[in-house]
Amino acid sequence: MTEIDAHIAELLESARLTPRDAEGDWADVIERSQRRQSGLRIPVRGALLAAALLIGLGAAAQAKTGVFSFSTDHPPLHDSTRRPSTHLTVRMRRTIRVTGAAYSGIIGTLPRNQVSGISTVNMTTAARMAQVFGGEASRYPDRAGVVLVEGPFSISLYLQGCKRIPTACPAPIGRWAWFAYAVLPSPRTGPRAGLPTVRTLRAGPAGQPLPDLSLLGRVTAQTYIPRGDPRSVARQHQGQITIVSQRRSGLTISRVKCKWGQGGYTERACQAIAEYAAFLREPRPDEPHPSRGSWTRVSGVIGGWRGNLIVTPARLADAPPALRGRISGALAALPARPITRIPPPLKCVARPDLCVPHTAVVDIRQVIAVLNHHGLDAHTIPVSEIPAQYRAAIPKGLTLTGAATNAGLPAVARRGYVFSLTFDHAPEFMPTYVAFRNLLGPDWGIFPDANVLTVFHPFTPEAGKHRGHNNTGFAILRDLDRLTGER
Amino acid sequence: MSVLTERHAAKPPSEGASLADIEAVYRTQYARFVAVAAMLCRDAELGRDAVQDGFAGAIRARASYRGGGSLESWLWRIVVNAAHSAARRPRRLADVHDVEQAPAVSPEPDTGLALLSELPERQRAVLFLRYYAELDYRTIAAVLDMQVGTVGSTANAALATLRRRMTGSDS
Repeated sequence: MTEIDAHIAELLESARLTPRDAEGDWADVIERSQRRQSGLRIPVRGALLAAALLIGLGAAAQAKTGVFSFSTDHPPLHDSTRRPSTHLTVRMRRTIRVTGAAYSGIIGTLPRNQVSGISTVNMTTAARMAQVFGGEASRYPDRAGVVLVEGPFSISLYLQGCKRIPTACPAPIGRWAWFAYAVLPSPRTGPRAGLPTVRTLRAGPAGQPLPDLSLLGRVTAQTYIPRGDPRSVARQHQGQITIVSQRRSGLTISRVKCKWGQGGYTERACQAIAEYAAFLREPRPDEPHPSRGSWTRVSGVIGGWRGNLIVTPARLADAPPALRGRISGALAALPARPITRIPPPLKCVARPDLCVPHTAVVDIRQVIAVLNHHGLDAHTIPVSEIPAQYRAAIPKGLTLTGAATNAGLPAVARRGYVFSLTFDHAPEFMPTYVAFRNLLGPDWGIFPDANVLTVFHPFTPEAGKHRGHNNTGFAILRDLDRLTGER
Repeated sequence: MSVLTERHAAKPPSEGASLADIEAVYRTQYARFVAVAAMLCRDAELGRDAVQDGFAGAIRARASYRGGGSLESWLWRIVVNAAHSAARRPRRLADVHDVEQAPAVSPEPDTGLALLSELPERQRAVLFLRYYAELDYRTIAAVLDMQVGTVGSTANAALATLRRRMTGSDS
């Protein structure tokens, strides 16, 4: 070991800096730890509203009405709530993102009535994931949140819509004990950010014990209640299909909307094709039609199945006789109209999110149309008339492109006050939300969505009873989300 | 290796560090932590702040301590990182005023502090952890996330540089 000679030791000793206290102040350390810790607490109502913006109205309503009961093995040490810090913003965003992915894991990829619990780890490393799920660390992302959805699952069809997380969808056919997902950190922020970055880590076959997530980091467990409620399944969106048939008699087209109820699809064609897709074990077929002969092309979405599937008599011969009969009967019974040209197939089969444009911005007139649909009587105002306190709360780097309000009109007393701003690009979600929440307080609905920011106050005692979770606020949110989602 | 290092190194891997263990390290090693942090920050009070903040952060993050290394080296790593952050952080307004009110005299170029300040950050950290904290090379390697051999060569380079500058052969 290299020894420090006398001259240098003397130099180091002469340079030594001595603080005013020689023994330290442990109480100060504790106080500092509490100060930061209390700043990290997440206000529940804010988290709910943010959850609404991140994952849609349905999940927030479920969280609010107690469908999900949250518990954590790390209760907060301190009760005082402080002003949020930048660190808080980052933590909230990360927490909500993983939680949002967990919700999407339920809503988007798995039979909801079979989910018995969800556990999340906000961030962990590849080495820890390898330790828990096996294999080499290089097979895992360097850093990711982990979501474990507990079953048991018995999946016989490619159920549930997977528009938001196609990379982890649909759940494979079979019997499974659990599914583990990785949520990759995303530089994008905003209501729909993070969801396409969900990947399936591993599926535990039936009977396999749950992995020990505590080895990954802090675990937040969420119990899903009630277990097996069929009503929750009935509400799920299942998509629609377009069936193009080429026969000797000519070219025809049929369209069917697929609805789920009482353990199966209510339409015979949807049920038969879903069963055939499960039989083929092909969740994402993208097949071109033959150049000659009779064929039927099934294009569209049925639950978690999405694609362009070609059905020919020869191919159908491989299916079990009962299934073959159901498909033939259901397709023959569909009302069809003749066409002259073969319509294009479904695009973006494997990654539907790639077909969703993310660059367009919404115009203030489109926002006003949404607001006035709810009877709010909003109209444009010059950007220069925006009050200074609102202007001060707008994050730096944004250019205002429009503003609308119903201030001063009778609609305020009748339907509530609304104020919308549009920007040249989408602001970061959490800084915008936190800034306006600090400015306006908890009674206001604050809805940043794409390049639109809308603040809403019911201004009527009855409507404001639930403090920001009133129907008009959520209706605005839902329609704004639809507006920005359908760009 | 210090007594505390041995004690905590012998401890089996655990889920998180206890508050009592962190407090024990703080109370027995405080002077060493502050000496190193102050030298890394080039300011005694900033160094003290870094130690306080570092231990506060360790308390908050104690659940993440896996017991893979010694608790002491884990705490050293946190405090050294806090000191580096404090040194890089822009001075507060109050500090700027203090500087403005202080006599406009720069430190003599041949003082010990000035000589040490000229060393690269990593060499300074190795040297201070070796001399002021009396840590062995293995612990320093764990604190600074380096190979043990690299710690030795870094310390050699730091000492060689100081010797050259003290004898004036560097210029």
